[in-house]
Amino acid sequence: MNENFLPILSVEDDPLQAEWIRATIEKHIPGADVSQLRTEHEFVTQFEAFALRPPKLILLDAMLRWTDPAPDLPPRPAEVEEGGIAQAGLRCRHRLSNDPRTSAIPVILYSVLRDNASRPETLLYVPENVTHVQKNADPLELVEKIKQALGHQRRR
Amino acid sequence: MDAPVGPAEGQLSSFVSTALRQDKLSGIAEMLRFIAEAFDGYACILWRLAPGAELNATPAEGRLFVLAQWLREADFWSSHILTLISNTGSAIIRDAPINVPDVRSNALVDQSDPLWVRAGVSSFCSIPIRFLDGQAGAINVYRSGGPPFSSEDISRIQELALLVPALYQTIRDKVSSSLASRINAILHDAELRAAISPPSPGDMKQVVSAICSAVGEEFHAAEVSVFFEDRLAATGRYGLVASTWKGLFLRTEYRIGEPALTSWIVGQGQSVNIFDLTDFRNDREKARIQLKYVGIEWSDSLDFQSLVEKFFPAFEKHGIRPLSFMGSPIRAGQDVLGVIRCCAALEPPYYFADGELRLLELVAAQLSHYWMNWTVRRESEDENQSWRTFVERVSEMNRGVQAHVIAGVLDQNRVFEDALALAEAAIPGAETLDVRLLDESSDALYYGPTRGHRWDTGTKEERHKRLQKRYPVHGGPDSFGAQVARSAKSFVMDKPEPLYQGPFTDTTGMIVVPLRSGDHVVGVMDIRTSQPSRFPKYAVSIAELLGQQLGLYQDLATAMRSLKQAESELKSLLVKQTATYEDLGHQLRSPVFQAEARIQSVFRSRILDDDLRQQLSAVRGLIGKTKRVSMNIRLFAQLADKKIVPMQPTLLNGDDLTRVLIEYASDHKRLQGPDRRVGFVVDPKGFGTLRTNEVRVDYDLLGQAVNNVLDNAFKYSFPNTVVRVQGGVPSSGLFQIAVRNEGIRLRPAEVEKAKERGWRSEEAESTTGEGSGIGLWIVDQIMKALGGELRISPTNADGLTEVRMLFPISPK
Repeated sequence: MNENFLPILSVEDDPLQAEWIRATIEKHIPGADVSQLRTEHEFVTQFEAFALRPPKLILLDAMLRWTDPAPDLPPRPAEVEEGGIAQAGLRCRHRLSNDPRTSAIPVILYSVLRDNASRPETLLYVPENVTHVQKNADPLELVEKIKQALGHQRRR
Repeated sequence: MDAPVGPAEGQLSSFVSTALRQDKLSGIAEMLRFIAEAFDGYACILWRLAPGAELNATPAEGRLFVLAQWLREADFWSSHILTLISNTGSAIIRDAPINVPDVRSNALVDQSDPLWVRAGVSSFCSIPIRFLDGQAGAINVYRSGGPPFSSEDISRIQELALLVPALYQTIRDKVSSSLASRINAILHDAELRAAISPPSPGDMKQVVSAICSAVGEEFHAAEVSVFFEDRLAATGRYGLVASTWKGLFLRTEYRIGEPALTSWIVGQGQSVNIFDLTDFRNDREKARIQLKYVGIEWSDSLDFQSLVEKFFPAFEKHGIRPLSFMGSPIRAGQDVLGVIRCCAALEPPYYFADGELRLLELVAAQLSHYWMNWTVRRESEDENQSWRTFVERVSEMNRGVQAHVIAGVLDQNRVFEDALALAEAAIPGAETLDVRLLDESSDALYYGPTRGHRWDTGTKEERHKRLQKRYPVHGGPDSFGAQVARSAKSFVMDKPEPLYQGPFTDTTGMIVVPLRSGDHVVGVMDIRTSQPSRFPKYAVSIAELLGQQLGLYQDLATAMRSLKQAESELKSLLVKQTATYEDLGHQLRSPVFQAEARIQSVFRSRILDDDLRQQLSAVRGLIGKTKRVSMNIRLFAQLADKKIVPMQPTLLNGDDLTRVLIEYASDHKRLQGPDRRVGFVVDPKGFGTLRTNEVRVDYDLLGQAVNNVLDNAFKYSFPNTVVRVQGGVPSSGLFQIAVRNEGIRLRPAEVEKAKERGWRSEEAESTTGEGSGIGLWIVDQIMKALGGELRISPTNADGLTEVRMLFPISPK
């Protein structure tokens, strides 16, 4: 396997944004291979699969719709109904943290929310492997954060 | 030899049965008549030794008085007092009969006695007896003409006399029993009537009056009176409730400590029995009475001089009958509720014996029971009335407050004034009332609203000074108000207190209750009386409830003030917010339009490589979205503020509309992901109608409406489906743009809800990552502003949902 192979999982429900993220990362980070999930439901259903073959980094949108329109919609679990889309990224992050197979994967919570107070997760307890990055017009900032997260992991 | 006179064979039993038939004290005379007639006597008198007599003294001291008498001529009379220096006295002292065969030659006889002067009595005999209570007495039989009494007569009189004390006692016992039954009947009847309706003070007086009459009749008393302390009106004063005395009352009220028999009885709680009130005019007798009843004094409250003149004019010369008096406290345990007194027997026996006093005490006990029932009933009736008044007035006050709340202004002073009026109406004795409020800055109570005429007394300066007085809660001179403000507990003053430094020095009772708002005391309510009576116990409860009620009003007033302030702040904030939204919408509009125009220009004038074209295409899609969102913000701000949306009507052109629709659809397609593959078809045929018809619309608004509908159609469509747009004339006078898609279901019950602001279906919530549920609400508002209509059809059997925008048209 290519030593530089860097599988990255992007969870983003805006197709334009998702495509832009993929292109930007793959262009600026050698070996990066971005796979995409579009909804929280996809994240839940695909979890076992990527837990078995964990990506090097997960890029999580903070706000995610539950699913795409379809004739048979999967029902929303109570926690999803209660917390709504605003808590989706946080729920995904908790699921990652609670599973030993995924708890060490660097996570970048990528959000339009600007300040800490309005983030879905407060700073009371943020695991070391989780970084908040604001969705910003400058794509290189995201690239830089991804590199930092990956480098940090390598050092450990 | 003369035939012996006296009771013949069988006459003894006849005598006994005659005596036993009597059930009144006057019946004793019947027994005496029997003796007199049996021995051919003109009269028979039963004498008794008056209290205080000393038979063993030398010479013996004391008096005898007529206990009962019978004279052949009923309107005749005799002396009724004898000293022990008399034949009858000698018989008693020697305990042996005395025969006086000729009264005119007897040295111990008062020769002026009308009995011999007028009735011609010439001889008599005196037989000593001993009453069952141990007191000595004598039975005298008098003859007018005829032979003097023989020794045999005397022996036979002695036989009858032996029976007299027992028979006398029997009659008295029967009288006691009869009186007790009679009083029981009166009280029983009163209780029955009370069960039907609460007795009035008049009813109560009638019952007590009937009891006085019954006692008066049994004892032949000139006066039987009952006095009670009416604690609801005044304490320490015993006022006349009922009396049989028809003459002048020199006083009708007594207090403890006054020099009067009634005052002594209520003060000592002890019964009194005085043989003759006139003894108070004799130092020796007075001392003897006061030895028994320490400190007792008599003042003639009934003007007995008139009594003597009225009833005993002929006796003045020979001394009037004794003015006997007996009185008993009416008690409940150690508590003296009142007095029943009985005075001056008009017929024999003139003296009230201890037996009569016991009977009077029994009546007193019955009266006590009746009075307590009456006062409890009256208190309970008064209390019920007070609570009824309280409840009615509080409801009234609450209605008033409710009206204030609806009007948005709670006039606290008015509420306090109403509360004071309520307290005055509901609490007996409440005369001078006020509300004192706490001034937090100076930590002192100051007068708010007041009630009662005493606030208006004095000069203008005095009134002003009175109302300006302040009462420090901490640190200053202490006051009841300050104590209540500190402790948040009610205070009751039921007698004048030195600490009371309030504005009215004659205050005898006061209730001070806290007015609490939450945990804080915000003031106190004062209720004062200058009457001698105490406030009833329930008055404190009423005052406390009223205090709580006022506290609640205070909370309400505070809440209303805060609400009003918050409302005003919110209003101003909303106005600012709306203006800000509107402004932001405007600010966004210009650069977004410019960016869009420039990208269009780039597309048209440059040859672009694929990557750049793709990027620019995405940017154009984003700008389109931004444009729609900014327009929605602006419209939302205007519509939420109920502003009229400004219109620039333009003639609608079918070709332009088709082109614009295709552009909108392209923007939406650009924003969807590669997996969605939602197609878009505009059917141009229907729009041809616009060539022959005229539709005037504001293009921007129409564009926004169409965009919002398309946005929904794209968002909720299933993958690999097509959104179709058609124009046409569904019915005469209307043009429509119909958008049909296949996706999330819209149920019939949800059709109207879909037009509501902020509503999204359950499925929409699952599939939307953004959006606020205002899209169709804005479309509905725009359509109304354009004179058209938004119609939504629920998802049909084929899974298609249709949204139609209808406009009125007219032929060109």
